[in-house]
Amino acid sequence: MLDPDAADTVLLELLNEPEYESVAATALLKLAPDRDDRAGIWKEKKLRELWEARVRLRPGVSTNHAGLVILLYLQAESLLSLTNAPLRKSRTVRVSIEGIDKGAGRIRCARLYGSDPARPSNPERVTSWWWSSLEILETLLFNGIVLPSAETLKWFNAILEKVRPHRYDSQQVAPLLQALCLLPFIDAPPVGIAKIGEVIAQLKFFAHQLRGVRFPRSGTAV
Amino acid sequence: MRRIARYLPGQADWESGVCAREGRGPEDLGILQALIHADILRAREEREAAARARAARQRHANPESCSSWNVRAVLNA
Repeated sequence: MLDPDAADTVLLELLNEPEYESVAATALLKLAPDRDDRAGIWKEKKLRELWEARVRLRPGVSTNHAGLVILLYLQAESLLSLTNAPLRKSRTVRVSIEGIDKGAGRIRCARLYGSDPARPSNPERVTSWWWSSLEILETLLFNGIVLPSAETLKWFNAILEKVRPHRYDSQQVAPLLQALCLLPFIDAPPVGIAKIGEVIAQLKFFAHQLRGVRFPRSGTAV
Repeated sequence: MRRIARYLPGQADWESGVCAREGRGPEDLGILQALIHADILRAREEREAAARARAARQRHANPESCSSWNVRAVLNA
């Protein structure tokens, strides 16, 4: 056997390579703790557990657990930065860990820098990342991470603009509806909830389209 | 292990599979990483060649990626 503990280190390094980032991110997701139980597309989610996870993320968490959460957080940051880039010029994303503040129960790390427009472009990049990105962000939430509002809304807007011309196509609308469910859990919930209202008013969804959408109401999970 | 990897040139899926199955320790993980970096360079060169061929309106085989095989080998480590 090779070194089983070093797999995440190798995968983290591969995230910087455009050829490998999608596959490496999916692999990191497999290493995430409690992934199969709670997060995942089309799974019945208990949003109360999400709030509990935020409370649980305290200095006492095991090193392995914290390490995997950090890896996923780094991946989400690099993923969110993709939406800033024009579709035809993907950016090389480099991540550096600045520090981990375990005392406050929050993980503050990752700074993105550097871009290399000479890298080959991939016009379908954002589209091909829809489902992976949703699953990564959900897993982060269920591991107690609070998503940054500005970056999350940029990511959401990228999906929204893709979906807008196809709002009668249920396959196109499905990821948008799943993304709507994440918005109340960003670090500025009123902004996320206002965005939900705006999107529903703009796109004029039918009632049956919103059947699977669940939102927290007055601090309790639905 | 190193000898096996040397005799399978250009077969990244085979190479990484051999690394994952026959590897004996952390030092062999380095070989797997070297294989992955070689595959990245190969895929990049192939893609650039394909882009040049498209610009010159010539036929060119689509560049093949072995990323899924190699990452699977890392996970099996």
